Amino acid sequence: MWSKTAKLLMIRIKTQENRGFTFPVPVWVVNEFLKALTDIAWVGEMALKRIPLPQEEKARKHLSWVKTISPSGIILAVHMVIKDLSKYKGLHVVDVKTGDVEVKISLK
Amino acid sequence: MSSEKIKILEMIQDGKLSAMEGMDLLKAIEEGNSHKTTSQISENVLLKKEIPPTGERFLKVRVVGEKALKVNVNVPLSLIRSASKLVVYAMSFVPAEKRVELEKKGLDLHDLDVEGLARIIEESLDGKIVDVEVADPEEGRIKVEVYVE
Repeated sequence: MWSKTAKLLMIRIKTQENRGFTFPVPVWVVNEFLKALTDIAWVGEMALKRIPLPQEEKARKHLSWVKTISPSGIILAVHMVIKDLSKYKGLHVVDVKTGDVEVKISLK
Repeated sequence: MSSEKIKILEMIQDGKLSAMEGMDLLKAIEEGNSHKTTSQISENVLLKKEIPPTGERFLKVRVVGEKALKVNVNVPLSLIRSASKLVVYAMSFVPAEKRVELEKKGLDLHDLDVEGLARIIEESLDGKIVDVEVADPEEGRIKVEVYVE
């Protein structure tokens, strides 16, 4: 059942006043966007590593902590989750209905 | 070496048993409880076979209110493994001084095997995890269910 790869991420938002609208987001667009974002984050990380630590203690501690964070790694991990999720064509991932709003996220 | 011990080692090699399960069974043999061990082995194998391939299992969250609230979330259980990598990266957000504080209390974040934990969750989670019914003044009765199917 889950052998086909999804091509579209469908985000449907419906409110009581409006008829509702659907955003079909192609999975390849998400993939490319996250790939580009990972590269940008990596460049940022490299640039950050070259910035010398300031003399002031508090700022020094703060910057050394910022340098340990890897945004590119986090984006890459999110990308992996989305890639894995896209293997489930036809899956209704989220379906939330409250008083006024209905949000549906599915893979087509 | 007895045939039972060889069978257990073969099952560990094939990935049918974890190293810990194998260890427990080998201990049981050494204690001379061989009949129980044989039945334990077949029970373990059967239990493993009953669980369908992990890619087909889903973590489902259902919240149903009496009035308008309805939440329906389906997450493939295999996603837990890739999401665990996210947790590993998220650990880097913990400031160094807090890390040191945790280490003093005996919790070393570097030693946490998040992926191993995710693997155990993926393998052992089955059936209903949460089944709660609460009364909300606005929404009325709300039923929350979290289960693996």
